[in-house]
Amino acid sequence: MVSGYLSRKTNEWGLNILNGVHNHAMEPALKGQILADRLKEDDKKIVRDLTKSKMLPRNILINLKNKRPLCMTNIKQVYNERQQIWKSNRGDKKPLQYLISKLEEHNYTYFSRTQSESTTIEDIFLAHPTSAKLFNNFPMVLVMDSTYKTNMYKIPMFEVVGVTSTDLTYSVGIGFVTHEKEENFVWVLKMLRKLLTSKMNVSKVIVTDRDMSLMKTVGNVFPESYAMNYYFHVQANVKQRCILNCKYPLGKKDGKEVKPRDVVKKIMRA
Amino acid sequence: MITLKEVKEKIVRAWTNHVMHLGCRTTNMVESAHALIKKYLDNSVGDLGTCWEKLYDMLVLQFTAIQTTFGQSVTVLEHRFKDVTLYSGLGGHVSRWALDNIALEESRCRETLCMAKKFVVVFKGLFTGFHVHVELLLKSLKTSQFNWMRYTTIGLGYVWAKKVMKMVFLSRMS
Repeated sequence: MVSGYLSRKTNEWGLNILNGVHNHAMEPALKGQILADRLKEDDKKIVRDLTKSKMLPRNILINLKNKRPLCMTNIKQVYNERQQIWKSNRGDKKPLQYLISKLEEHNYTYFSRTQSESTTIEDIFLAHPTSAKLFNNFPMVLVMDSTYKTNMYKIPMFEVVGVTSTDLTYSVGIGFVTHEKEENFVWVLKMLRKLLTSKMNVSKVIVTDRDMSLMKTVGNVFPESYAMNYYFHVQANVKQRCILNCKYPLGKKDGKEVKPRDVVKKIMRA
Repeated sequence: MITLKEVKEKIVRAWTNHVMHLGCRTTNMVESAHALIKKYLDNSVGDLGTCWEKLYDMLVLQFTAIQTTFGQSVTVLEHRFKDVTLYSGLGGHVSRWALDNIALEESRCRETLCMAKKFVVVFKGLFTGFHVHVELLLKSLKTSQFNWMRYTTIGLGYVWAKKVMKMVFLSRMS
């Protein structure tokens, strides 16, 4: 154990050795030591710049190591720095406040709904100004589905996708809904309708998967459009029906028996 | 019956495929969009702020890509469509993808030799004669062609059906 001190008389540094016996040999590398690991100011700048361009932490670390061969930083430091950057970006706002301030800054169209008789936000629906414009130009086909594992709150993200005239998809809007229930979907779809400026071009075809609540609401909110089911679900249905109907031998005139699979294929090709 | 049997698959299209779904019958499209989003999110524990920031970046790139295809559709006309009565008038108004589809259906029509009828079916179903300049189309809708909207269920696509059909007749006569 060693203690350092500054002598007041001579103004020089001195070292006091309290216990000169080490219980382990000296480490050959400095890696893993807090002081050696830390990011210098210019390293931090690199991390900041690369984080802005959405580089993954491991790629940032590779970049750092390439630039400074003697750098002893590890991945954890990069993660910590990223966290700090994000915190300083947000300031003292809560994530939701930050979101709303950003949405207003970028002229987003957004709607939110609170739970009944409380101030907890239940559903949010947001649409980029450009996607709203695209949606008004190309409202013919909408595909919608929700996905999980996108955020820390574990709420599903409901995405609506449209098709442009050049066979490219664009995302119309994104909704964070707390439950995949009918009333949530009703609300989201109503908000979606609000995006349309004229009544003339309402979506003609809406493709969903076989989520019963979603199917029902699509029919209610967009009564004039044709709700289509996921092709494969339809195929599965047809298969089932066919097997039911094919209990008695379904014979052709020339005596050959028709396989149910062929029937299914024929029907689906239509 | 025998004659029908041979062309059954071709005729079936007259009853089915009445929906203009732009070739999307599955939710694959949205699944791929989900996959894209998750690529940008790169973890599943972001809060609303981080989620939004990443989604914003994704949208910026997506819109650039779409705008690029629009620009290409307006400026580029493929060589096979140049100086062809049917297509040269459409260049710049109909997207390249739609032109491709028209060409496909036209060749099919020439094979089956029932042009006028086929085109209606085509436009009702798979066809996507969608306008790049929607303002132009809306203008034409508001003026003389508005009546066509009323008795059709497919709306905008039908206007183009009529226009293109006219052009087909013209090209057949000349």
